[in-house]
Amino acid sequence: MNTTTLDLAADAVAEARRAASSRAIEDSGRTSAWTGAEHDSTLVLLARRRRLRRALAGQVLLVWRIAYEDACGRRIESHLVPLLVDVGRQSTPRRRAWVRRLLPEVEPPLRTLVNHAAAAWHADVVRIASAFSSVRAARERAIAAQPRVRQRLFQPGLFDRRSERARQLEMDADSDADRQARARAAAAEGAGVLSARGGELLLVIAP
Amino acid sequence: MQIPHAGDLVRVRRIRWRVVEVRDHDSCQVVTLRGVAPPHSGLERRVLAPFDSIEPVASLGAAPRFVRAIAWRRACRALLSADAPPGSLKTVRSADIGLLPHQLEPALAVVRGLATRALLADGVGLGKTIQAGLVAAELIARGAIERVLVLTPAGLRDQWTDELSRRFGIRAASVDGPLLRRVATTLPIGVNPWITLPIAVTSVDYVKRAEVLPAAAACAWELVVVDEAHGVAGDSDRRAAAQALASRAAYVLLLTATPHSGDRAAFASLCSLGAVDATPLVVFRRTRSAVGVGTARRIHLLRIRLTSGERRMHARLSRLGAALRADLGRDFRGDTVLALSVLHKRALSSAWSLARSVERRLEALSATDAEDRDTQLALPFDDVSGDLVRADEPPPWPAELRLADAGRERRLLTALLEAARDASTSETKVRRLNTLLRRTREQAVVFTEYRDTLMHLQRQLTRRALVLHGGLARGERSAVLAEFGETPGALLLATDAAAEGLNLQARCRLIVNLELPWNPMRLEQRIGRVDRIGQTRTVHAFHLVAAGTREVRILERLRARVADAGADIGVVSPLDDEEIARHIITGDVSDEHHNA
Repeated sequence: MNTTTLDLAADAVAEARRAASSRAIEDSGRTSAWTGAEHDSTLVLLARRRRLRRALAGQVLLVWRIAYEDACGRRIESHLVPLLVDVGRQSTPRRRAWVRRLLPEVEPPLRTLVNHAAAAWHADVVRIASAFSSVRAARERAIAAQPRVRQRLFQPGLFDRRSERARQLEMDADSDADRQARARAAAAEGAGVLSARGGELLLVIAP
Repeated sequence: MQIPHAGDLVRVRRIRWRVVEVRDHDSCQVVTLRGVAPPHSGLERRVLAPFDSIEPVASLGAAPRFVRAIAWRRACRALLSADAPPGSLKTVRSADIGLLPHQLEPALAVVRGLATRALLADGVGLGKTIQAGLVAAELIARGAIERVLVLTPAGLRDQWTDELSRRFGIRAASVDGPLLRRVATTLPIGVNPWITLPIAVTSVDYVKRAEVLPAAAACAWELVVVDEAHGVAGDSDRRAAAQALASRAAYVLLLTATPHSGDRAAFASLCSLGAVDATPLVVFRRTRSAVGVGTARRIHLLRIRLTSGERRMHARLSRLGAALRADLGRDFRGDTVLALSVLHKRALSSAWSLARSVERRLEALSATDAEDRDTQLALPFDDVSGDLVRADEPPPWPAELRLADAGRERRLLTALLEAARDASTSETKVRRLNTLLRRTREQAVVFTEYRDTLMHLQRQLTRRALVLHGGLARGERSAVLAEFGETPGALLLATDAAAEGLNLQARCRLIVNLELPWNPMRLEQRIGRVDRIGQTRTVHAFHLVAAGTREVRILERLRARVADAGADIGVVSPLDDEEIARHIITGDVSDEHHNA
């Protein structure tokens, strides 16, 4: 019997903890409503409370998201990268205008920095995605290579062509299944190709 | 029309959506959308471009949006809760399940590329359905699969569709004959109705039919889940059907709490289901004690002293056996011994059921076309929807059991029938069962192997009993289970075939086995209906064992078979399995040992 076992107990415990904390963070109804209304632009909060301004201490908090997409554009993995950028004490009364000017200036250099900062994450994504797709591709190739088993003997009728038609349908179905299996094997090969999406700046808190 | 890109905000059918992915399909594009505003928030829908009009919604571009603290915090919480390291599970956060680590392991193995074919063989009641649902949800969420087929016993189809929908938001169709016919009427001639059902839950007994299997197998299922997979082990139509479907699927999950009945060949056959290359089957087998869940289980062995009438019946059955042995000489072996054992099983189930078998044999001996009637295969004309289960029907008289001298055979059978009828007027097991149920006064499930014993029991019991057997249609089953769930103190009489896989732990904790099954898996399956996650009270299982009969020997045989199974599965140590065997069968292991 060709069987094996895996020891994922420790990983499963860690995953359960992570999921529990995710559930705790999520503010059920209100959060899911926000998730749906996901925006295109960066959300900026201008710190008004003294405590928050003191905590920022002249820095801007920027939350970036880096992601990998599959060939269809579906986001497969994503990762949040927070950055604190020191901008000094700002006493300008027109903070909105200042933020609008600041963000385009800092985004390009910081995007590169974010990608570098998440190098370990990039490596993990590539390793796991490659394992996931290669094992699937191997199975799809094996399926496509399976020989067709024809168990039923066939004898054409002299006057009645029903068995002939049934045989033809069976052969069509077989060739269709073969075509599907080959297509799936090819798709599985291609599914392992992920493309990294450059960092997106999602959230900002400015002093 | 401009084809959108993943991530774009679009308007389709006057509703705003976010594009999740765009997949080429022949000369069209299948566009997957996710709702961004109530009531469609988070819902995924698919449309076909260019046939559906997809209008881009003007983006604000890179201009930052200034928001208040409450909106910022909400957005931040949502992003943080969705943030997960590579190789972690995306759907577990929103799934309606408890976070039990052992239930996450199979899904982790699949998303990390460690398994495409797995046997989930955890103990009964440890949530194998949840584990399979989680695997399906993860693969769907990653866009890795679209088509899922769940093969399950007929009685569990609704339970599966309900669990997939309630826990994972996966809308599955419970497929049977009427549904397929309904779907077919809406499709052009020649279009396979299975293609229109991306997530299908169907009965293995329905799909194995010669007129159903080709159409089902013509679809490219990407994940095939075989529930109660021990039912497709061995050489059978069921296995052939499951193999035809699983051997073309990218992912295969085999679910059974009882993968090994002590028959090594059957276990090997189960392990090879869906294999297409040398990749090994990944086995997950966790016990309740290893996982640390479950309540105490107490096994009570009730030795029943038979009446003189019952002893006479057993003696006359032995006399028939001796006559067959003498008559057949060297040919009395293998199949013949097995065939004779079926009669003993019937006698141990109830004198009534043995009497029915003997009556039919005597009728057959009198009829001229006995041979034809004995061997005629039943066609499924009375079961177009595939709801019925025939495994609990009385078995036909084994062809091997016949004497050369028909007159002598008739005399022996007549004497046996007379004794069985006499014994059936007041059966000790039934009397003891009545006493037991009177004393316990709580919900209980009484198991037997045969439908005729079940109906006899219903007539003989002093307490009103609901019956659940393989001859009930889907609606009737649902009504019985609903009434059992809602009625305090209700009594349910069930056959193994009908009750397999049911969750009855919400109100019930008492199981009575009218007779011992010869297969240890069945015994565990029976107790497992109430001894599962969610049970809060001590589970009691009563085995009624007829003293001085072969049933005592069955106990020993059951122990040996469980020990064999433990050695083959290899995850649980043989010592543990031996103890489990004792635990299941005789209860002579302290409860604490298994309820850590």
